[in-house]
Amino acid sequence: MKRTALLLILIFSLCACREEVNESTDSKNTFETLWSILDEKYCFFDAKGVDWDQVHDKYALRVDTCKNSDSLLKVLGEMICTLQDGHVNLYTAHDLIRYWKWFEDYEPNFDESLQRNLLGTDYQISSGLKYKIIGGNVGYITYSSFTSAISDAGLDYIFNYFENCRGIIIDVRDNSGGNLSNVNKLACRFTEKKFICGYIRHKTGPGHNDFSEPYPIYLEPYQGKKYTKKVVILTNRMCYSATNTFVTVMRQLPNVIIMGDRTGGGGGFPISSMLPNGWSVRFSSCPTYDENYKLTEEGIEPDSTVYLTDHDIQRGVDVIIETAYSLLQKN
Amino acid sequence: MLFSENPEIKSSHIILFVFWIYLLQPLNAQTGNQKSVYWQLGVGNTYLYDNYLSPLPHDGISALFSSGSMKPLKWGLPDSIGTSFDEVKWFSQCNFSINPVYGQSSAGSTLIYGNIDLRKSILRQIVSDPKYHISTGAFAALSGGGRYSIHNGNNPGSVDAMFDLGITVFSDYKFILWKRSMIVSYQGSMAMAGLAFSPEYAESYYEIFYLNNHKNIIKFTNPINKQHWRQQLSLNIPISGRKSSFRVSYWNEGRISMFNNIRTRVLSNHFSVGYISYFSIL
Repeated sequence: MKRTALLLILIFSLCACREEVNESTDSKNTFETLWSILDEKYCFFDAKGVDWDQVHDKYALRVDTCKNSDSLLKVLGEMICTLQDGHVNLYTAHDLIRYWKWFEDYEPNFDESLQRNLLGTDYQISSGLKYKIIGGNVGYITYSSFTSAISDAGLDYIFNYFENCRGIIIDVRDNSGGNLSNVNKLACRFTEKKFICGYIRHKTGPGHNDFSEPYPIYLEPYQGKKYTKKVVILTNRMCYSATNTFVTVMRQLPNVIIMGDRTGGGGGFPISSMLPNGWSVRFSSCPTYDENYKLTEEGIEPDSTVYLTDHDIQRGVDVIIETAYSLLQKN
Repeated sequence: MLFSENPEIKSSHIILFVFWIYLLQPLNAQTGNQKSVYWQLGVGNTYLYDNYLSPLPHDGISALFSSGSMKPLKWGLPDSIGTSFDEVKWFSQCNFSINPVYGQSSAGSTLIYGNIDLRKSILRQIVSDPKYHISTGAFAALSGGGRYSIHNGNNPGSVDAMFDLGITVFSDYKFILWKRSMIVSYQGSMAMAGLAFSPEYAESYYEIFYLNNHKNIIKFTNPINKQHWRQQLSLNIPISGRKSSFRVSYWNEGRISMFNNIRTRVLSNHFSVGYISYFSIL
C-alpha cells in the first residue's frame, strides 16, 4: 500500500509540470525571445561572420528606449537585417520586415512586357508553367513561382510537345522560390542517372556549431518522359530559395547551361516561430550545399553572364532570351 | 458510388470497422465470461508546449472520447471454474482514446493538437475483499498524434508517434448510497520504457519524409527522457439492474518528453460521462 501511495504522490506531483516561460509582451521580453530563437536555431552565424552576442548588446540598449511597438519593430527589424538573409523575416499584422538587398541592389535583368511580347496570346498553360514553341523550333517555358504546383501529366505533355525542338529555354527569372518538391519534380525530367546534387545539414542543438553531418541529396531520373536535349536556364538576382536550389541542381547536368545573372541565394531551409507579442519570425535553420559541399546561400554564378540593359528594354529586345535562342540555334 | 467517389469516406469507414472489431473482440471469446464495455465522452482543458514549433505554451479546450473493455482471464485455473471477476486473479483491459485540442497562446497564436492512443493492459488482483480490490499490472500502448500551428508558415506541424510499456494500478471500492450499490474506481498508469519518434533539434519534416534522412529519429524512452501518465477516478452508478452503469469520471493525462533538445508537454484534465455495459454470455 505504501508503494502504491508513493506512486500516486509521484503521479500527482507530475501534474504541475508546466514549462516556465516568460510570456510578457513588453519590449524587453519580445527582444530577448527573438534574439534567443535566432541564437539557438539560426544556421549561418559563422558562415556570415556575425557576432550575435555583440548584436545583442548593441540592440538591447536601443530596445530600452522604445516607447511603442512601431519603434520596437524598427529596432528588431534592423537587428534581423544584420544577418543579411532573405529568409529572415518578421511578420506583424501591418508590416513585413525583410532583407531584400540580394535583389534590390542589382539590375533586374528581366522585363515582364518583353516576356509578354514573346509569349503573345497563344501560349499554353499547365498549372504554374506557361509554354510555347517560339520561332526556330525552340521551346520556351516560364515558371514564375515554385509555389505553383506542376503535375507529372502536364510535364509529360509539355516534353512530348517539345520533343522535336532543338532545345528549350526555361525562364525562372523573378521566380523567388516556393516548394522544393516542385524543384525535384521538374529537375528529374532532365537526367538519365541518379546523382548527388547537393547536401543538407540541420541544427542538432542550440549551439552555433551544433550541426548534423551533411546528408547527400539525390536527384533520381523520372521513370517516364524525359528531356535530354540542350536546355538553357535563364536566371537573375530574383532567383531565390527553391529557385536557387533548382539552378544548383540543373547546372550539374551536362546538357544544361545557366544564363543571365547570378541567382540571389537563399540556401537555408527556413522555419518559423512566434514571439510573445504575437509577431512571427521566419529564419534559415538548415544550410544547404552544392555538390562540392559549398554553401548555396550566396547564390549561383551562371555559366554565361548576360545582362539586360535599359537600352535593350527600350529596343524591345530581351537579350538574355535572344542569346539563349542563338545558342540553341547553333546546336 | 459514394465510396468510389470519395476515398476519404471509405478509409474512415475501414478505420472505424477495425476499431470496432478491436473493441468487440473480448465479447466473442469464451462463453460464460463476465465482461464490461464502456464508452465515455469528456471535455476539459489541455496545456500544450512544443519548443520545436513555438517558444510559447498553448492552452485550450479539449475533448476526450474513450472506449474500452475489461474481462477476466483464467490463467492457471481449472476449466470447472468460471471466469467472473470475483473468481479469478487476472484480468485484461483494452482502451482506445482520442483527445483533440484547440490551444491558444497568450500571443494569440493557435495550436491544434490531436492524439489517438490504443492500449492493452494485463492486471493481477493483489488485494481482494468483498468491498474493494486492488490490482497491479502492465500495459502496452501505441499512440500517435500531432500538433499544427496555424501561424507557422514553414514548419507548421510536429508529429508524435510512440510505443510505451508501463505499469498500471487499478482499485475499486463498492458502497451503498441511496439504496444503490455504487463503485468508485481509480486507475493510474505510467510508462516506463518504449520507443518514440522525434526529429532532431531543428530538423525539418521535409528532410525526414522527403529526403529520407532517418538517422536518430527513433528514441528509446525511459522515465527520465519521457514521462507519460494517465489517471482516472470514476464513479459508476448502476442503472437497469446490474447490466449497465452510468459513469462520471475525472481523467488526467500527461505526456512530457525531452528528445534531441526538443521539449514537449501535453497536460490534460477532463471530466467525462459515460456508460458501461456488463455482459455475461451463456
